[in-house]
Amino acid sequence: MIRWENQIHYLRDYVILFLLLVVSLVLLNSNSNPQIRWLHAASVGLLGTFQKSLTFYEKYTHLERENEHLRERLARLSFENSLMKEAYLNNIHLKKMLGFKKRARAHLVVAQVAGKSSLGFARAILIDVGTASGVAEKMPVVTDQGLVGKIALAGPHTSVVQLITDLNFRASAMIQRSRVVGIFAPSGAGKFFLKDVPIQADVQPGDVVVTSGYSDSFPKGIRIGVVTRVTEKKNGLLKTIEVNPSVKPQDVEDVFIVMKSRTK
Amino acid sequence: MTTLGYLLVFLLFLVTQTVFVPFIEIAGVRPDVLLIFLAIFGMKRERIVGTVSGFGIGLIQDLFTAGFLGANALVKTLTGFLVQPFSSEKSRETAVGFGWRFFWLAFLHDLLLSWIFAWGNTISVWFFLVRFVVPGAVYSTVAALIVFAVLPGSFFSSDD
Repeated sequence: MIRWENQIHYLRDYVILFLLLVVSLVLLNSNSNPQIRWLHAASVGLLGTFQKSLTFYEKYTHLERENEHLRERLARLSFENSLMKEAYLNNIHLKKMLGFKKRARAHLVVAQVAGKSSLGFARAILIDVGTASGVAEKMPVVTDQGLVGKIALAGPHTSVVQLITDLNFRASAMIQRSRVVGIFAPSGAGKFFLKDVPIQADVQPGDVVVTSGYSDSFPKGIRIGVVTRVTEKKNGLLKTIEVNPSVKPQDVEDVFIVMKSRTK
Repeated sequence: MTTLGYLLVFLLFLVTQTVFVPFIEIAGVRPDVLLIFLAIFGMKRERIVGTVSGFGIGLIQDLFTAGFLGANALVKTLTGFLVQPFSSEKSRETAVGFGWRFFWLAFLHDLLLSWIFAWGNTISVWFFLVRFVVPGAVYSTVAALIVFAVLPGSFFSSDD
């Protein structure tokens, strides 16, 4: 009788373990579910509010606002300049289409970093704007220097930004000079690469890497960084291109969300 | 120690993990103080208590961090289940004994968690062992030893 009780006791532990593992796996599989994302965004937002209350730079509101305004202007000009350069290079490539003039303008929303989050390979920051300001998931996040990341979760008043340093971050990118396209990705060891570039492609150290505009998330022409090293393996098919990002995401305090890019 | 006492200590650990731990990050590596709580809480209790606590703690941690929801719940459920074999039979725990056992628990925990986050990435096992798993486990162990020195001995003894 006691033996049976022991066996039931022993089995109970395994049954509970099995059930909880199943629940965890279901949760892991439901990360794209809107309700789950809303709950996650709301709880991270709650933390962001708490973290923000601990920061003391809010005392300097006047200076902060002025600084914010100037930075926003600088970022907008820098972004527009980048897009204009893109438009100029496009025009060279599309000589037969003279008369078609494309100009892009970006609508930027300023945000402050309210907190930082990292877990294993995940790298993210919390910012103090959310869906109430028009922010939505997958929107690019930039500074006047270049790409910081993209919105991973958007709550009402806070959002989570997946940084370019996050191991699962990917962006379709290209060499601005030669229009060679690849995938920008971090290595996890503090290095960044432009992947999937064929060995015969024209890439030199010093080339500027920008977003290609081939994905839903990033409009064309946002500066990512500069090529620092190009190596080729003997009998290899692809180049190894190391990129030095223009922005150190862990150091940013203010960022801008690129709301939309309109052409006219 | 009463349930309310444990709940208060847990809240203290939770605030520390989510608000203060980001400030002591070294090269992308942070200690997991909620794992320390789970280890201390689970080592002297029934296996089922450790398992359920692991799930609850992991789920709360998932909700307040920007990773995948469910990743910590999964890993901490397993850690909570495995925590008992890492407990000491001795009535009086020593810092070295506790630190040694905790290191291996943290190593297993970080290995599983990194594996989930690195899923689908072509990264060598050695790379993420050396870059994240071992440093993370060492950092958590150092933090666990500080907790061991600070918390009263009753916290480390069985309530049974």
